[in-house]
Amino acid sequence: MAVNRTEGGMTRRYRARVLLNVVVASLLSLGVAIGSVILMREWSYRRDLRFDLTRDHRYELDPLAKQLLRTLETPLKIDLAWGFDSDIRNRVLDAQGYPRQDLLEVFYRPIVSEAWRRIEQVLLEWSRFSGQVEYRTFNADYEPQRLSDLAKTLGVSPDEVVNHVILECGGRRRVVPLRKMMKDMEWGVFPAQPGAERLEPRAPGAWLVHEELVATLRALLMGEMKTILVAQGHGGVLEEGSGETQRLRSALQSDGFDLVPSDLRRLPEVSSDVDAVLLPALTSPLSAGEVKLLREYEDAGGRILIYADPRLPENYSRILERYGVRLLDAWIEDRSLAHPGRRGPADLQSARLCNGLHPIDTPLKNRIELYAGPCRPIRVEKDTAAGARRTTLLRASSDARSVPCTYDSTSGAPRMDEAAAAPTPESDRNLAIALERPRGGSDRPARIVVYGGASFLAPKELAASTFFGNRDLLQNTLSWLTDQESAIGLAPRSEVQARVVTYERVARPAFLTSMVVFPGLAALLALLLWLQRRS
Amino acid sequence: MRRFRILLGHEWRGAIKSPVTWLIIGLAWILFGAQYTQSILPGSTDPDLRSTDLLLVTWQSSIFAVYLMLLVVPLLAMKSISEEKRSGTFEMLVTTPAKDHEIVLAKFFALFAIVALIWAILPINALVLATVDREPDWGCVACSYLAIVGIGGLFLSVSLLASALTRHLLLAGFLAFVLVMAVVFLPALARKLPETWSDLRGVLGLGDLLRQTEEAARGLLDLVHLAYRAALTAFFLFVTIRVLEMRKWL
Repeated sequence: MAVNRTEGGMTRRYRARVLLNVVVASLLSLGVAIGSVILMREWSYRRDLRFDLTRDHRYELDPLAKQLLRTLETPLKIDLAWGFDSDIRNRVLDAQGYPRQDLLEVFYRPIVSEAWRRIEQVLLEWSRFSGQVEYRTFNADYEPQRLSDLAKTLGVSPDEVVNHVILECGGRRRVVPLRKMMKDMEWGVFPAQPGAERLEPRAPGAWLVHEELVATLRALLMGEMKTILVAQGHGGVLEEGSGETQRLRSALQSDGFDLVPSDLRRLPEVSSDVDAVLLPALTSPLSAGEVKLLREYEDAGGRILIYADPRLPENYSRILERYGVRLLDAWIEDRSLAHPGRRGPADLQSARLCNGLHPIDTPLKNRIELYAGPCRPIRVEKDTAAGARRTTLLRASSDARSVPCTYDSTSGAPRMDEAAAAPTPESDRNLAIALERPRGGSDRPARIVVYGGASFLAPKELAASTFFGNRDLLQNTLSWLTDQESAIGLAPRSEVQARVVTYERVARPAFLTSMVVFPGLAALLALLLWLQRRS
Repeated sequence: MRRFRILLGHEWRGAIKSPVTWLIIGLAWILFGAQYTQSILPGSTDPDLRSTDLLLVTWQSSIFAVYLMLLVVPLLAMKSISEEKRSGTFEMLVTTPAKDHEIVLAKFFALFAIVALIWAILPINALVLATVDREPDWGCVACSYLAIVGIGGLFLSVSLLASALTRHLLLAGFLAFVLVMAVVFLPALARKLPETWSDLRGVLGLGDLLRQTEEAARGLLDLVHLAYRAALTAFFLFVTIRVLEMRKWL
């Protein structure tokens, strides 16, 4: 019946059925193919199916970013409109005051598009890790209407949107300018006046995309800014107006901490709005009134961060006595933890300082160097207040020895007694310690963190976050003191420098191989085979 | 399996001993070489900055390789079935004990080996760089190579289908070119869809081969992308087999 008896061959109906069969089978197999890919994609949300094969694992999300993204409960919306902002346009104005498009395209387009590419890489990884992350990036020069809409939605001017990464989560917003992610950047200028020397822009020496985005995410998830009161009036390292204070303040601000300088002697009490009090290596001891004020604050569940320096006299004993902890008048020399490039065995710098028994220092243990400088030993007494917990954060090695120190009664100048130096007993080898004690009738325990040295706050090492973990240690300490445990971690480091090739060295071999040798070989083979066939 | 091995050997020898194959390989190499030497040109005239990011070189070369395959793979595959149909050798082939799927798979793998050979130029170039200047990130090179060869396999399966659909050589080539263009650019259109259509954007975006290549050139091996290419290649090969089978029933 499938055979057409009059014309021969198969009937039209039979042919249609065969064709239909093929079409249906093909559609079914297409469904299976697409379905299997979608299933695979769904599986990839639960299990990471992407593998970073780069030598330095540059795309692997750092543990801190993963931890922060895991805690996301509400959508995190990220917007980036990139392009030529008014600052860039102003650098290339012609005599009539209009920006020169040719200069923008040649010199500035590669820089901003590179920034966009790098930021999008990080955001893509975030969105793959958490379904709560939604990001949009677009070129503001090509989509001016979209820029204007976004600016209107955010309630800011378009200029405040271009080249800014805007993160929003749970009604809070944080903004990171693109410029903050570029280190050692020369933006250049092209003066319109004839004969005026022009300065071409240069690409950044390093990109800080990971660091800045993770720091902003951390600050965003912390919620409101935490107020850190910095004790003033003692001539410490963070006196108001100093460059160090400004740098530290701006660094910590992007992490969600607001440093507020204040003279404790002028305060009737430390307000309960203050999230923590920072005592940064004061050059003169606290007055009795200040000690009383701090004790009352701590009694009320206050949080205190102390940096005590062996080269400076101190009187924190009244604050620390209820924890059974005492700062000793000495400094520690430890050859196994001192850096050979530093000034001596008391100038401590090592990746092995962390004890790893507390959330503050665990992420840093054996992973990154800390600059501790000269440190006082902190003695842990046997007697302690009921329920108080004392956890050593940083510790000297068994090679450590203590050099006693006395202070001039008038000037406070230290005198080290090298002759009396002796091995440091086990109970005194603590260089930093976290203290916590419960308070009757309250869920909020009192917390203190004591560092035996002031060099933990050294601006150079705080700024050199690629090589030192000092900034992480400070951030973690402040996060713990302000009950932001989820923000504790080790921030990602600078992206490694690009692997570059030098044109002069590779141009000729690359040309010879790819343009002459291999195509020539293929052409020769084709000719030989053709001749062979002909013969 | 034995029949498949014999067929594969036959197809491979046929392909590798064809002057046309080597002409196509030579054309691919010279076009790729021109782009490659261009990509290592420094972006600045400043003597201190006469260097180029290797990652950028791998990325640009990989994207160019995909565009190049839009032309090269249909050229390689267009005659594989249609030529046999036109010359009548296909009837002889299907009357042998070999099954249809063995014939199609043998042709596919023989040409796939040629595609893999063409793109061996990518690691060879990287090796030259490593010898004369700076060692590249071999992870990125390996990922790029895998992605390009995988995409080449997908284009090949599409081109085989086009070749199976007609006995006219040029029509097969043109059809293959149109189909591979659709495979590349239809999913890429997902980027142009409005943001409110996020679900459709997500599904279509999965098949964005240019994006897949970009990610691979950065050194990321994504099993979802591998699965996409494998599933689609299997689908086109399946349809090719069904199309050949159809001939028996008509």
